Amino acid sequence: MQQHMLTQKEKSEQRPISGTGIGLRSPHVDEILINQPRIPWLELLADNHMAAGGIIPAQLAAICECYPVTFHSVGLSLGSVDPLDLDYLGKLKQLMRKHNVCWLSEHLCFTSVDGFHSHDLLPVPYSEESLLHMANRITEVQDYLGERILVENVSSYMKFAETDMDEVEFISEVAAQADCALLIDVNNIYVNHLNQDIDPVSYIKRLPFERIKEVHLAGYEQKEGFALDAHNHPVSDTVWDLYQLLVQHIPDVPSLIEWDNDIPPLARLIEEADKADLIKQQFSEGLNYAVS
Amino acid sequence: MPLAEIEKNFMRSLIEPYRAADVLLSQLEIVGDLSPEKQLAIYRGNINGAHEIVLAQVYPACKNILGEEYFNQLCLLYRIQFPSVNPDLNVYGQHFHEFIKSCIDKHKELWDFNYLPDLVLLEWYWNATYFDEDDSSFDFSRLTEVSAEQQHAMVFCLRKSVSLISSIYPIIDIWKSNRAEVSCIQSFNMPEKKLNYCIYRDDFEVKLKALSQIEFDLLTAINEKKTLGDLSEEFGTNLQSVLYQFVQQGWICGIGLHGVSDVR
Repeated sequence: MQQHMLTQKEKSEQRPISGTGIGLRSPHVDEILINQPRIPWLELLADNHMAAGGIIPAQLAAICECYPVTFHSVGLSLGSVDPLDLDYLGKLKQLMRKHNVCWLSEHLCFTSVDGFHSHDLLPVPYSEESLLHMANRITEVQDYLGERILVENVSSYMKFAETDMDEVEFISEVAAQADCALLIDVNNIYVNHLNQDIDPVSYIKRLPFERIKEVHLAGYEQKEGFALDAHNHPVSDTVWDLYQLLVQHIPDVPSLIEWDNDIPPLARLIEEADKADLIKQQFSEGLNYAVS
Repeated sequence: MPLAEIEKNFMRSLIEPYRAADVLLSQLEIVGDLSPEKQLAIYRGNINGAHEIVLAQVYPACKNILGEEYFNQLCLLYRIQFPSVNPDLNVYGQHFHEFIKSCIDKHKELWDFNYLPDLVLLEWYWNATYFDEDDSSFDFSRLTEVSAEQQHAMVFCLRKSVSLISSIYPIIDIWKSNRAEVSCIQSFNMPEKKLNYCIYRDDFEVKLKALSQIEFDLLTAINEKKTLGDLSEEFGTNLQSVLYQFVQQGWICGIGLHGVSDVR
């Protein structure tokens, strides 16, 4: 594993992921390629760039030529009891190698089981069994890819009776056992606070900061009786406050603005990214960062 | 309850939303204002919404014709009948054509929409062609590797991004009028004969071309891996010029020998 870590570090040194990037979605691809606005890095939803032919692979190659890029995937189904989808993982690895993608992040959830795919992030119970299973699967993925991945806390609308620990304990232990990095989505913490009454401040304070390599920011939608992690609004004021609390501890960790539905002009996303950078600059003189 | 049981019950309650989900619900606790039923309902709602969006993107004309509410009901029934078995959402909806066909047989209100299965198939091909694998160009030097004795057993390979469709309905006119969210024209003239089309990708752009009956039959025969010997017998003197035209168009991208898997 150590030897592979070096490869990832070298990649990051060549094309550092620093500052606040943007989750690139299809409505902005042309603008990004034509105008090449000053954005420090882009995160692509890997699942949207796996088409076998046509314009999608060509766009991916062009984007990766112009910007440092990371992959965010939703199909690995890390928590699933099904065997790991090696076909999917193989495609991810091939694309990452081909385009010098800096790293891959996935979610601490399952999306498929019994061969069926929900295409939604389904929570797992925070039990000892899930913990061991998730950690083993992440290790399997990392061994296959030959590099460390980042795993993200998800928004959850479900509480299982089968619970041995709280969410922070679960993700911290998974990261420790699998020796993986963490991607912390601040909006997801807040949505879980609204729906499940977790204490977001205590949550953030208890995170293993040394493992956090990326932070996500997004907006939620208030539905009837619950908050939905819809990624269709600006980042809320409370999430900005929680972000400030988090980046005090990790000012040089890169952040990312995610906006997936009712997508506004790119300039609006850049405004959100600038705001995140301003907050971080209070705590850090430099924004240089590389995975170590 | 073991993790495997929890996950399988959860998934089953999502892909069969009308079935009781007692086992899963018994594993959930009330949290905040969310009862176990509400927790499950949120996931069911998310999944319905996501699948509706995908199908609406692939089948915009079908959605416009049927109206959003009816289309969304069909989306739910489709998801129950054909749950997604692939992590790639780009291939979700590939059975919508057969599903619509069966719906027309079952639902009286759809009897006036006999053209829908052909229209839906056209929309599917249009969508799939966009993502289909790239093939290399026809390599004429491969022809020199085929001996005179082998020529009759030679087969041709159609580009993966080429699809053929024929219909007795004016599906192209209906499609063009309903693709965008504009008021659709409700009456079309029936064509005098069956119309044939090829859907293909030219560089990155998906295109559609009307085909003569001979062109359509020949492309169909090529797709069925009929040998050059069989094609010569079936199409006689027309064969050479039409074949050459298909190569020029980029629709034929390779050759091989009958029964040999490497066809390029």
